[in-house]
Amino acid sequence: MVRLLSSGKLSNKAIVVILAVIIVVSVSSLMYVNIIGRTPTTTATTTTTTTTQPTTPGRVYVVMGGATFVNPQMQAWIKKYMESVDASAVIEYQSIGSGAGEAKFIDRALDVGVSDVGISKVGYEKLVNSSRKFIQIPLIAGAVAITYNLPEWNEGVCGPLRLTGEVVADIYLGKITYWNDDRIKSLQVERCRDLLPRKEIVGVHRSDGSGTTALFTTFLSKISREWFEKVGYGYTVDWPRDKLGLGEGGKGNEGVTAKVKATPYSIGYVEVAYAIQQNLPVATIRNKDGNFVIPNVTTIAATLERAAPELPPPEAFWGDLPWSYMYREGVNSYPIVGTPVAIIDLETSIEKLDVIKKFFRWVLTEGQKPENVVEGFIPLPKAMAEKALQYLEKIPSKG
Amino acid sequence: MRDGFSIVLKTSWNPVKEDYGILPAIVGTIISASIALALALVLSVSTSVLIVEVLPRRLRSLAEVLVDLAAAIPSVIYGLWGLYILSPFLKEFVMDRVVELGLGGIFGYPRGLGTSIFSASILLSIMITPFAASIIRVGLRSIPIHIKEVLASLALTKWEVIVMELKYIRRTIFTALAVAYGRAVGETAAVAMVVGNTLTTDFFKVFSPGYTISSLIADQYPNAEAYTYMVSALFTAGLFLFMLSLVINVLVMIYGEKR
Amino acid sequence: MRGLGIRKLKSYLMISLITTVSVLALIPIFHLITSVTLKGVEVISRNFPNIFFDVRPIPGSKEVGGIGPYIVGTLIITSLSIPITLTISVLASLYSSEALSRFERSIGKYTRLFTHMLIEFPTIIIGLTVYGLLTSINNLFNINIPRFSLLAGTLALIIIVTPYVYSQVEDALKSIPSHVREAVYSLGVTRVKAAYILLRYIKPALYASITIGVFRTISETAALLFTAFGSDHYPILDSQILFRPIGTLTLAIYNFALSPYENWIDLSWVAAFTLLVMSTTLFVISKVLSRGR
Repeated sequence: MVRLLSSGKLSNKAIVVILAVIIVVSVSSLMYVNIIGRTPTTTATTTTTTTTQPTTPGRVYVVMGGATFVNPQMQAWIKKYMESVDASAVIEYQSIGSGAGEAKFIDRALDVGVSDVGISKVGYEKLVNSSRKFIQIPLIAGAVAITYNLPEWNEGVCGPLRLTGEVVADIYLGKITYWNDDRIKSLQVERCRDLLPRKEIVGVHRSDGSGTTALFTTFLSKISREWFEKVGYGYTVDWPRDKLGLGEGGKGNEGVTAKVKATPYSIGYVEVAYAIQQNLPVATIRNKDGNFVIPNVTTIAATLERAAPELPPPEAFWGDLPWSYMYREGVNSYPIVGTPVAIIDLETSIEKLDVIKKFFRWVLTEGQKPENVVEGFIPLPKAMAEKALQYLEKIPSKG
Repeated sequence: MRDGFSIVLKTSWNPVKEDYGILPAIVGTIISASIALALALVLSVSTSVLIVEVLPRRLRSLAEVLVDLAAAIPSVIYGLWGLYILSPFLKEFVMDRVVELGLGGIFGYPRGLGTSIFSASILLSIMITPFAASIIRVGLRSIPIHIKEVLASLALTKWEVIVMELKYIRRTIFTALAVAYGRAVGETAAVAMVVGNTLTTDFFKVFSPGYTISSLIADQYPNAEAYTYMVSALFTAGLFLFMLSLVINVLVMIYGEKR
Repeated sequence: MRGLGIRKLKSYLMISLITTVSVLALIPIFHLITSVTLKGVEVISRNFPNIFFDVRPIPGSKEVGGIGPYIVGTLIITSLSIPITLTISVLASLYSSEALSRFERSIGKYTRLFTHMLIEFPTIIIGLTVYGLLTSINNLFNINIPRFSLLAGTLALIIIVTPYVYSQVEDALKSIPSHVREAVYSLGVTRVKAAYILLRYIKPALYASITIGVFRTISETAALLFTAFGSDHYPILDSQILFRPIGTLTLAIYNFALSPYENWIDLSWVAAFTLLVMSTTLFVISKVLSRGR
């Protein structure tokens, strides 16, 4: 190769390499100049307490990951926390999925794993058998909304469609086939009953494994014995309606949304944040007290307030938590709610634990205030947040 | 594996009962990749011939840029485009028409946005064409000048020259298609958005929503580790893909040796 | 020359057919590029030029935010992996196409088979394999290489992209006419020198394969999920950079497009458009270079 280099015939190849290097270096340095020029100004205006520590190798880097559902809220929290409370630490959250969050936590690749429905029985046993030290806390609340596409239905006159858990279960079981089924009809207000057409209901569901499906099927299992025995609950289930050619899967909330919007006479379930953002029609669901309620801040909080005293101890098995949330008593409790759960590794370095503790303390106090909660998420009821704060005290700290 | 070989023959996917079958995904993969490959063969050969032999200089570089850019578009974008534009278009102008002819029993009935094995095949053919075309183009360009001169001296028509040239580089075309087929089989993000992701018993009907191995893996992996056997089921599916490509590539190898 | 008229006619017909088919193939691509460009430019114009430097906005807010960290991440991971990819592919393809002994030839044959099979693997599995490999290395030596890191991401990308580049380079090498090859070897130079001359001969194809390699690298998503992991902060440039997660444009597209929030979905279009511009620029550079010979 030396001979080649000295032969003077390397011009073109050299030009490519040099050009590529120049481009990469110049673009990245340009961006860095820009950043270093900007960071102090943003921190200076927003915070008084932090000492700016630009790019020192000693910065603590906390890696968290898991549930997709809570990702927007996590990003909002991390952004606000790093900008206005503590700029010295770097906190990372990536939405790799609840199951992966759990598994990679068990593998020790993550400092904190987040799951939509709490860690699974399998995962919990693995942790206990290897005597790992960890704690779990709830982060925020969310709910599953039932959406529909019914061209004949006039919401202005009739209000949102009314449904019960039993009816929804029977639709997805394939036992109710048409929209004008008597059991759907009888739930609606008198003057609108005849608007329901004799059309087959298309049952749209998530095709990918998801916490949304887990919450939805937990609700159906709790309310319908037949659903519980035939189908059960989990991230993915075997949909009976698919086998009749009347069901269809969509990837992600956006897949379900797109399908419901494009398919007349369909029904589907999405995260409530999605329903709000995309202006989807949302059905009211009959709760245990017999009232038809729509998912919103009041009705979701009402359910969780009742569930707060039942929050398990921080090291216990939390997989049954969603089950206890579903279909609670209360005049205006919305029946399909959930809280993503963070599982924190107590065996990581003390520097990281310090950051983790401070961050989650902020999340459970400041983070629950309306200005820090992203639209579509619902703050934890006070009692629950306070209990979680006590759990946080189990994290050892530096001083 | 808990189930042994039966996983390949079963059609159910029921994590609640830890019961997994991947036959629909296997069939879906083979069908969609094969349709895509057949289309891509025609499309990529024509495109490369057009660019190298037919188009005037200026248009040529434009078309070249376009084709090469297409290879660089992330598959997520193809997926979005396929979901909102391609599938509804195919449903309205192709699938619904075919069903009207009374062939729904053979091809299945499209639902909703038209996401189906068929839409996935068309999207895949669009995606792999630029890729195969760029390899074929290199092949056409590197036909030695003396062969071109011989062809030119034979008083053949343009078309006959093209046919001869294509014959000359048939090994390259074969390789290009093998590589493209690989991409079609392994493609995940885009396919997952348009294939419909439904495990049905009529999985061999192309207009119905279905599954492919890679979209099954992409759909299920993020939560798979919360179950006992799902990860192994998904890896079995991956292994099957491995065997499939082994067969294809051995064929390529044999074909390549003969020349 | 009887029948020349018919042959001419057939020729014209077939060529028009080819043209039509190609146009059919190009229309969707054109449509796609236009829609990405229109949407991307529209969003960029709302926060120009800061959209290229800012970080993600609070979802659902009025902020536009930006994709700065992801651009830097993509550049870093690409400039790390491409030189390695290229070296491996060029060396491997030289070895398999310029094989002299039967032994070398059979090794080359199996390399070829293996790389073609690698192409067909869903990239998410390759990502998981890299993750698993690092896990077992960690367990074996009782060390702790972070699995969600730039290092793991680069490894995965090298494994994914090398087969593509390799098959391109190898094809080009094999299509060198035998008289050229014979002429080169008859010069009596060393094999290294001969290889260098042959590489010069296929220079345009070499540029094309680099371009394809970079395209594949910057547009890979699934394999990076469990390796590079993604990051929403500017990477800190220090000795530890290899061991920390890094974000890329594709991961950003993936995450933002899945959310319900308008301003995040908009950003995913910007990221897609940026990827497109990056590829175009690269493409033009490689074209200019290969022409200016």
